[in-house]
Amino acid sequence: MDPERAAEPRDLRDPERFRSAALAHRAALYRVAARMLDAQAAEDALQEAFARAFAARERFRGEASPFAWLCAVLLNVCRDELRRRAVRRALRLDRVLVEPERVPDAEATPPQALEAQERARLLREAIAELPRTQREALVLVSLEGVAVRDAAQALDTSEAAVWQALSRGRAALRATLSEVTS
Amino acid sequence: MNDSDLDAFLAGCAPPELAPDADRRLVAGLDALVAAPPATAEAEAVVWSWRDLPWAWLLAGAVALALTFAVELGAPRPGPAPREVWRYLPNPRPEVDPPQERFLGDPTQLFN
Repeated sequence: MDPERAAEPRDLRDPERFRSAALAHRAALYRVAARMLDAQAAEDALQEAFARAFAARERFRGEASPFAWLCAVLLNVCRDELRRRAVRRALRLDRVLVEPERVPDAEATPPQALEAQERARLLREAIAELPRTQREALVLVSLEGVAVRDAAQALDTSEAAVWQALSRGRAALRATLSEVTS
Repeated sequence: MNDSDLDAFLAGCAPPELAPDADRRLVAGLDALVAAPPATAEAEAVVWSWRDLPWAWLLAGAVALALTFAVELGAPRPGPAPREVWRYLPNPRPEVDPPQERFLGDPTQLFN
């Protein structure tokens, strides 16, 4: 854990302290949610996570870092959303309820930006195919650079389990991406 | 694709950034939350919830199981009717001792 996080207050019962912790981590939390869902859903998920965390802030005992705790709440919200999407897909309601993803204008966008968007799409799809634990470990540690200790606290598991999920997730991602890119 | 190729690919994917207007909405949402808190965990804890009580589910399961067995035991079973069963059993009434002769006279006369 970096020294800045170690010095963070571990008591979030005070609304002002909660607010400053949430503000300090909002960008990193948003990136985690956006890797799991998409931009619009990530914003909604983060709002929902802040509301849930604020309501449950009395239960935060300071054993984990505030970031890990907020991240755990956010991951729960993301899981709920992914579960809802799976149900909608199973019931074939997606065509009605979800608007199609906006396709960027190929002429107005520079080629590099288009390529970056295409890579991001490939990565999102490859990550979405991974099992839940591998997906979450990969997003937190490999993509967002969260410390394994914090990731383990956010995922409510051991550091060894995070390393294992990470290793398996990377192997699966390599296989999927080499299939797609070849 | 090897490990370093994967790292290069991941590095090439720009992280999703929080757009300024989305950020403003988030901050406004947080401010509203802090200014007018909907409910704290303590207030929520007063509301009784089945989902928060796994033991309640266990208890409900145990009661359901017990009721199932009770219904099963109470159901008519094949075999002789209860009255016929009693015919083959020994008399359940205990042997009653014959009444003793009661002494009604003067107790001091007993030892004379």
